[in-house]
Amino acid sequence: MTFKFREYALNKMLATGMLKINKPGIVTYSNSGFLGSRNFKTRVIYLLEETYVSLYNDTLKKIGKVRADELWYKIGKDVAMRYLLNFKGMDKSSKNLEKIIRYFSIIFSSMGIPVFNEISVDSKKLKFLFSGTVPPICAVTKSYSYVSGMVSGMMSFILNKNIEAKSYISDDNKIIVFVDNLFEEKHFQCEKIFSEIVFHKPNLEKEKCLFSGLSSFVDFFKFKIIELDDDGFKLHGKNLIPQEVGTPGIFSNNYSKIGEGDLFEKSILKSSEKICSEFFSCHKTTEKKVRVIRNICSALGLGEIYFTQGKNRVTVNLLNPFFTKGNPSFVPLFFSGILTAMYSEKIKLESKTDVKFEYIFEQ
Amino acid sequence: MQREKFGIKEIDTMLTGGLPKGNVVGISGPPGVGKSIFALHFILQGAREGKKGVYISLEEPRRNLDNMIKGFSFADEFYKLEEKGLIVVRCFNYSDYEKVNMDLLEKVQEDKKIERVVIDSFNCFFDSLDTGTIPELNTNVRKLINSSFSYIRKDNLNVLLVLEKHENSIINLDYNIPYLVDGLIKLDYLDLGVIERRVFIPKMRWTNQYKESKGYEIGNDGIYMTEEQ
Repeated sequence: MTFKFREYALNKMLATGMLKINKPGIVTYSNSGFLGSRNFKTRVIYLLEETYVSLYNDTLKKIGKVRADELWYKIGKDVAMRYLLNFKGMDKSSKNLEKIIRYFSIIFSSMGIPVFNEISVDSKKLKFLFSGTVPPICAVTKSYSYVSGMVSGMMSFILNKNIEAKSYISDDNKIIVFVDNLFEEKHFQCEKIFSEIVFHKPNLEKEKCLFSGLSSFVDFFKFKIIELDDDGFKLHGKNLIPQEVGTPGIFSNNYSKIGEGDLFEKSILKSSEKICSEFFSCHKTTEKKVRVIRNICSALGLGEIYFTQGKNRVTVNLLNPFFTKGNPSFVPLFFSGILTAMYSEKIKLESKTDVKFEYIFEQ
Repeated sequence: MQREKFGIKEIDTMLTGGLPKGNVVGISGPPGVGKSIFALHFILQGAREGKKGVYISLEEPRRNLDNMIKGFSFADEFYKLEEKGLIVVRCFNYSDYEKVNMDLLEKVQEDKKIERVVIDSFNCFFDSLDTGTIPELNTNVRKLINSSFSYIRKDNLNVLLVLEKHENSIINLDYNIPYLVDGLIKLDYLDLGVIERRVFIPKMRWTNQYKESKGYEIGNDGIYMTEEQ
């Protein structure tokens, strides 16, 4: 049976309240646990596909396809691992194997990877095959290493051993991901891999709300600014990539680890500036631009932003910011791009605290 | 089911011809979405059809109401129909209204000529009676709302209750009103540099539900619907 993401999102995520989208600045996803794992709640943010496409393309230019794909494979694996760590305690015995794989495949479809309509499991030989529609990002970059990485992370978590995956595109334009015991390259050091992934969930108990009158995801949905189809959610027709809040941090860390922190920094600055310039194109005054961006960020779960314009400085204060301990650099970079688009001047925010950034204009 | 035209073409389409006759309908939304303007269209349409309508304003003095009406192209027509007695406007403050509330509703019930009534705003009056911290008094507010409904439910009377919605969602002014009304028209806006307004009809008894929402603007002729892309 063909899996319909729109139907799934409406009936299983939104109608059941698993995906909470009615609060300004915050989107959360509650999972009721599966096969003995505990209930958990994660924060979800939505970023535009363009951010990641442009990051991949910049990476490709700088370090070449082989290294770019290796990097994105590792990132995909870490992203999957970080999310699946929430399922600790799950009964992963072989009798449940197929059930778990199918369950995670559906869960992952709400986290920006493809909807796998066909899954073939040969648990004795440890051979698995996933087939589905080509997901956003990959459809543009024509690189499938991120998806392979996520499937590798998923299978490694399920089987408690390092499992690698490979992808290709079939003649009928479907992504096929192979997982084969033969791909197992090294002994899986579970603890080592886990410790490399910064695992810090934002404390949702500290969720604050000032009733700022900002829009929530559901407001955008009601006003058809965000729409839903079988490919996922779209903002003004642009693909939105849902992700657990730690995902940008995993990207940032992996780029830094290979000494390409600068590449990451420049790319995020450039893409957030470009995207915001498009949103600002029909607004001339700073006041209107501020209103647009505050509402967009709030609706996409990126927190509430407060811009304070002084005589020669601009300060950005964040409430419920979308950073974790793992991604201190992504948030100020993202907002630097926004301010650059807003003031048409190259702005790089200096960090005052985790939630306050400032830029002083030259006199 | 006999239908009563609302007075805005596209809204009547959403309502499969108009509001069901004899219904009590709430129109709710935050400040600035045009609830009172929708209500003016409703009263005006009735008067155009020779149906007497009463507009009870509990928050705005007549001067403010006139300023609003004069801003629209239908102002002259509105005042002519008022002169003919087809539109009656009554403005009260809360303390005056508190004294006449039930008497007024009784008169509405007795006057066979009145076919349309607007109470603007219905829920905030009850909120002004609500002490909040004393549960017994809250119960009385609900009883009072129920009594009011018993007066305004009449076969040939269509009532539009303007319901204010606080932007701070923790404050709930609704009481049991959304359950008591036969229909609910929700107005909302989004501020993305320019204000975008939309109308939703989540509840309308005896009417096939219109699942889509529609965008609208406030212009010289009052409410007009914006074209969908």
